[in-house]
Amino acid sequence: MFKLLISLALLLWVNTSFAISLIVNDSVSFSPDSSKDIRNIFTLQQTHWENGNKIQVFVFPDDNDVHQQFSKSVTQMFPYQYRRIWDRVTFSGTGLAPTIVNSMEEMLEKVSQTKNSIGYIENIDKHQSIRVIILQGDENEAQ
Amino acid sequence: MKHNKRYFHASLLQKGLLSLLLALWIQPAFAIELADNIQVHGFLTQGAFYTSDNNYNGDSDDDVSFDQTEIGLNAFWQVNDRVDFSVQGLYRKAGKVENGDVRLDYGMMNVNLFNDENNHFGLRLGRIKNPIGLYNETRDVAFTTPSILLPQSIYLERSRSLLVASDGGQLFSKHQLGDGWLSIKLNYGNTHNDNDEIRDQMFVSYAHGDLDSEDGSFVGQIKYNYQSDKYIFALSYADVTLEYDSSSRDLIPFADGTARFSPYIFSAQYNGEKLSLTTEYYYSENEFKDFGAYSPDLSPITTNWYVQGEYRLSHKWQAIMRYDESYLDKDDRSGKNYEAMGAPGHMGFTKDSMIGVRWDIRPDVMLRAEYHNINGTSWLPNADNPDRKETKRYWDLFSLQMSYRF
Repeated sequence: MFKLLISLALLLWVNTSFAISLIVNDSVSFSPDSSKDIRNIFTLQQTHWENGNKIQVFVFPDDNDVHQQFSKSVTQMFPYQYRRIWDRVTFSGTGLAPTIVNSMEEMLEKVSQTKNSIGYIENIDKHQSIRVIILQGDENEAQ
Repeated sequence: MKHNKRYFHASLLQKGLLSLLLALWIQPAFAIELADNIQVHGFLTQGAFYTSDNNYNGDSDDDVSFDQTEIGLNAFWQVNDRVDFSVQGLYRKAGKVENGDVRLDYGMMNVNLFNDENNHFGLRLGRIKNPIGLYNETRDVAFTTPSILLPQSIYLERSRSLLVASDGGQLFSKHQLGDGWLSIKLNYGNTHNDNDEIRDQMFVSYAHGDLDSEDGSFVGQIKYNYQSDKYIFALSYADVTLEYDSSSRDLIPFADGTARFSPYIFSAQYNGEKLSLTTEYYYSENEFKDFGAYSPDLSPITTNWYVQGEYRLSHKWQAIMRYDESYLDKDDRSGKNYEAMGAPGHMGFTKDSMIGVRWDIRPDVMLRAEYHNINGTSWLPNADNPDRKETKRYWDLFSLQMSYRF
């Protein structure tokens, strides 16, 4: 369906046994220096990429293990804090909350097909690191 | 204000709502997505109230009232990277204060004027929620509030209509500052003019004219979020002037005077993994003038505050405790001015100690219960308690609430 281009690896080390990879659509150029840079996006403080395009955020449900690990280990946040922030934005009309996806397949599919999007997955190779994996839709290629 | 009926009287609508809640239970959903750039969300909330004395949200005195229903439906449309539109309709029933009308809660165009990684400037036009304290912008959305009753010291139901939203514009900005964001919101516009509760508090139900804001009102907030809400500090300010248009039905001949409210609200919150601590302080200089011989000019200072602790026992269970105190006139703490008008002195203050529990049955369904031990009646709704002489100084309130959102 699509291919993974692992083009940026080992951007940031964190102390966790549960490894998470950030994934971005191939339209996005993003190289976080710290967990703050990632947090700014998922808390909707930073709403646009450097090139001015609006960021599309995909996340797993609040009680999902990968979401909990992402919240705590990658961004030093608790899932309830994200929920509060997203609800405040959603019900005051001041922004678009992240879109919830329910499986790793759906996450990969959405991020590969949505321009300016970012999400996260459980690390495929279990390395203890955060990586940014760029996903590229392959509509131009033959199946 | 005694009622002999001991049965639960729920309206047809409320029964329908409960059925809908049950139906939604079976088919959970989180947001309806029509397209990548359009989202639709909503919520349904039903409350139940029992009070030992006095009425809150309907006939709750020694009875159970179901007269609290809130239904909201909103849509957000991202037109392009710079412009979006958002709208929310709200049905709200709150005792005899709000009879259950559907209203536009907010409806606005949002324009991003400038963005980079560290700065954000924008403009909103339309009906915009007012940034007051930590909860005002989503005060009717149960999932976003800490308790069934918001702390009345800051989020007084009486001034809800006045302060909930502005029809006008908002300038907003965000700046990254250290490991946090400094945000500023400045609203200017017309407020909703349904201020009978404020009028009845000022004139103890002797007046029947309209109390409306003729000119635009200002509401602004400066807020600093350190480490994405680990610590939040905010200062909010509002400046609202209401003009009285006397009525031939006035029991006392009041003149067409003005009432001006200019509150400052200081907010601070800490959010840890298990514990959240919150305090807010309200200081308002009020001015009542030119209401004639029967209502001398006054400039009382209102000082209110609360302190609140929330504890997350698990991701499904939360406990909350709060102490909440209000004095409408800090120099008349026992309410002697109300006694002079033939009303009970306890209209001038309230001390409310509460304890509650919240159960998140599912991410989209929540049930909570709380108990309040209350001394004073300053925030008791006038519509539910038309004869203030009948009200009691010491009272207890129990409440249950169920809410669903998608």
